[in-house]
Amino acid sequence: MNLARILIALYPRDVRARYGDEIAELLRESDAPTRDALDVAWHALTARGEHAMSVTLPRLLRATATAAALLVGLVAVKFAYDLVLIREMGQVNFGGPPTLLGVLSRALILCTTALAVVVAVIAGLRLGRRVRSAVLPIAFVLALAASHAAMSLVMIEYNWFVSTYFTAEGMRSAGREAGVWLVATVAAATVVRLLGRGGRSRAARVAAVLGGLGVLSVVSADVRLAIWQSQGVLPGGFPLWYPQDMLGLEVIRMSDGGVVVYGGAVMLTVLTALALAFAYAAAQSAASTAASEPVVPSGGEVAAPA
Amino acid sequence: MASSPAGGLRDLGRYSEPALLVLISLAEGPRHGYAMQDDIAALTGERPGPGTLYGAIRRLEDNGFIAALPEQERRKPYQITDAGRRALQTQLSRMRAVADTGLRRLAIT
Repeated sequence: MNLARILIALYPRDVRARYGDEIAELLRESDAPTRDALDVAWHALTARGEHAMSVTLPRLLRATATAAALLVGLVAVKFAYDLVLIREMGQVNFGGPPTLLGVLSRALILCTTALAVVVAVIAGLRLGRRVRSAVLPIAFVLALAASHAAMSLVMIEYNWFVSTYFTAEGMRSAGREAGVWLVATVAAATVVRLLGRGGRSRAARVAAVLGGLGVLSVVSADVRLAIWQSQGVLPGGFPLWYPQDMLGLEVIRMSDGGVVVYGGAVMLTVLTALALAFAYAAAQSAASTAASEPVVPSGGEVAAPA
Repeated sequence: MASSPAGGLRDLGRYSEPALLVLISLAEGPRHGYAMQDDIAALTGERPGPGTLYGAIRRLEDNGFIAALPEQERRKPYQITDAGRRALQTQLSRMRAVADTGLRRLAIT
């Protein structure tokens, strides 16, 4: 990359598109290249500052306000969803013979989850156009994690469907699980977004599927690690840990004959699916928006001076 | 926001001086950037840098005082508009009034 291109790149996108070729030509034909390079650098940075104050900042504020409102709404929906989940999980006869009520409750849990995923996808598509940054999935995961933590405290306080997952040891491992969840989700969404921006939509779809399976499996595996650490029992069922959690099929038979269901594991897998759906939708939306924007000229060839 | 020609070039702030020189250069006919640099250098003895020149061109174009013409031999010429002529006239009249006053006070006629 030559100096002219570097200097032109300092200008805001719209100025580059309008005058980039012409400025680059004057730079290349300059009799005083150092003075003109400094002149262009100064005016480019000034233009960028003006652009930041008049365009970028207001846009960022609008996007932040919209994102905050939607995230708050989503967290509220998630909280309501948790109440449904907890109530219905109480109807499922885990570890015992299937009952009609239990089957209906599982179906309701799945339908509610599917509905929540649809809401997450819609929110991701809308927000992804406005906030094209990894900050968005991070904020979403953190908002869900905060909501999840709040609900966990409520469950402990009122003794709702409390399992050993909510012991002190289980709660300690929840921090690690949230970290794994956050990093894996943002990494997968970033890969999908970069591939999408590069026009490699097929590779992006493959990465989305493989990355999604990977994220879900990693989070479920981490839950197994927490169970093993707290109970000394490593649940079977590999590699179908995620669907087992999602369906609430995973039960641990304790040495005393008791049955433990990890409600937290079920909720976490639902949250992972929601976050992944949101992050992918936002990444896809951001990539398609970026791809539809005009290509910026990069300087071009130089014509001889008149 | 576009400036009114009646206001001259005062709304262009620190770009008002290079913008004035660009308008004076284009008052004679359409020119591209390189030719404007030559013309302004001949007029003032100082060649404007590309950043300064196109900073002024951008503001003049945004205000409707100049307009880009179709490319000729890979160069884009600009021409002054009617609004640009009125703005230039306003600005030069204002400068002449200031110059006349200053010279009169110096008792130089």
